[in-house]
Amino acid sequence: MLNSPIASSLLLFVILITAIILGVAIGSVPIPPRIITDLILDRLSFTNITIEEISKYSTILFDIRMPRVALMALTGAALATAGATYQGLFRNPLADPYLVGVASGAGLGATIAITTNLNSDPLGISIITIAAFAGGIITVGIVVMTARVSKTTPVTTMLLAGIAIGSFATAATTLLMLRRPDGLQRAFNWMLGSYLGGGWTPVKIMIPYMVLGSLLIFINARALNVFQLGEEQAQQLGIHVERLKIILIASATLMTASAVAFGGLIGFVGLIVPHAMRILTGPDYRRLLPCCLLGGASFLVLSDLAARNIMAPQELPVGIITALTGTPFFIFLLRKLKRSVF
Amino acid sequence: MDPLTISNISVSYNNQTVIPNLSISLPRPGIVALVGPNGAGKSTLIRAITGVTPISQGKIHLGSVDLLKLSALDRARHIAVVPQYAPMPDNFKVQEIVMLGRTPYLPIWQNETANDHAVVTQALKQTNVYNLKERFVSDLSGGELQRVVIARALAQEPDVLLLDEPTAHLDLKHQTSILRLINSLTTVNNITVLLTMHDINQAAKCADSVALISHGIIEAYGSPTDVYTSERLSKVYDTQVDVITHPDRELPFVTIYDNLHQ
Repeated sequence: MLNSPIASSLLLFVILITAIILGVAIGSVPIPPRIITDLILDRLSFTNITIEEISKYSTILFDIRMPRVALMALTGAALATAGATYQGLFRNPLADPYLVGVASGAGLGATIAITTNLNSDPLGISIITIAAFAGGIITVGIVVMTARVSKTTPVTTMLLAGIAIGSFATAATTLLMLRRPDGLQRAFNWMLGSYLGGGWTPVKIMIPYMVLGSLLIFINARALNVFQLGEEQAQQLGIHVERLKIILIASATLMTASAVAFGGLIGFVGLIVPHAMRILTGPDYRRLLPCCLLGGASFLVLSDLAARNIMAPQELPVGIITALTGTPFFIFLLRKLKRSVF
Repeated sequence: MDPLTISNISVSYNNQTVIPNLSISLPRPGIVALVGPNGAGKSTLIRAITGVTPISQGKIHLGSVDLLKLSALDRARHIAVVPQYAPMPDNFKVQEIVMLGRTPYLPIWQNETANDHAVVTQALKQTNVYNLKERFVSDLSGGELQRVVIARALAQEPDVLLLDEPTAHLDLKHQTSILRLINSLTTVNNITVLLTMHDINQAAKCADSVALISHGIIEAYGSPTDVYTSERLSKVYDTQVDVITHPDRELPFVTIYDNLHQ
């Protein structure tokens, strides 16, 4: 465990910058780091490049690689932060961002869009994205309302409602896919987490959700610490427990739903990154959450880099990479630590 | 000093009345032990005072302050609780747990100040766990853990400390040391202590006065000698008991009448 919070954040920040540079540099057309710097300086109008040889990289860098890396960074940050939030809220180390139905709801939404062959793209983004986002939000809303008992929402009930309603949505998804097998491959790819393209638009759309969600979660970080004492003690310490639950679930759901809508169901990031960060920084959510933001972003940028290049020119769904690399790394951390981290 | 005055409160769970109409005044400083059979309403009364369980009518005042009108945060500056079962996150250190007791004083965006650290250090020292402050709570024994929970409650700088069965699950030595600590709270911190206890002899020993509660009603309130009569206790506990006077301590000593071997 790094004792200084500044040291751990700094380390993660350096890792993220490195991951981003690698992410934009490596690909079917490698871009030398020097040219990346030149192009960025040019874009910022510090210099003026006219050499054609360099400017041919411009499109690849600014219109393809950079938006993709940015989206992956945002998605990883969202999933890891939401995962840590749910683990704290449910006081359960197995919690992940998909626990209360975002994933199955988004899956159903996306599958409906795919199998009904809706091809319009209002707002300049794919209808699949919009349907997935709506499906995720609606499902979580149903779960929370189902779990509501008088004026409280007990977390155990919410967990069970999440499983039940999630199973229902998954069954409906499967049914739809069986009825329209032509959409199967697309739906399956989406579920494993695949980049759908779209340039900078997804990034621009996702940023407000990320900013709002993480801000609301971060200002409640200390309350999340108090929550670890159990709901009754948190209440006795002056925490407005029910309000906190709703704020945190709403924030985490917005972040996760926007991430899932553009990136599909990327597994393990939201489960493993928070635990790895706990080992690095300790359990205090004020340190943990920012580290999850940075760590999740780095992890997904690097995973996506691998997904693009391992079997090039074929792209692998990034969800396969996160599972294949994340799990061994996590097991290594657990074995090394030899004490309970949660 | 301001006493805690509870006037005519009633508490219901699921349309069932647990406390019909209860009034009691707790002195400051002073220790009152709440004794009574299982299900008599001891823990419910504690929850009602903290605000976790809403009361349907009545008033709770601390001096002239109406506690029911305070926000949860403001109330937590006056009243602290040591619950019977306190879940603890394993991976927190002792001083981090005790620092959580400062929550009622910290605005949502503000970090702990030097004063908060000073209060926590004081609480750690008073409860004799200062040397454990860097330890993980998962590594503590039951007795040490109970001290940490008390330290966390003291970090709230409360006027009233409520303890629900503070000596349950502890061996005799640790029971003694916890009770000694609780006794020092009235002299050192000058606060009102209300604790629930199953062992009515222990209650007689550590408290200034005892309140006997049954079916949500205070049956008797006063010195142990006045409250503990064999007739009253036999009725309330629905089992025949003997009350004798402890030969050395001038305290009532209660024992069950039944010869279990016959």
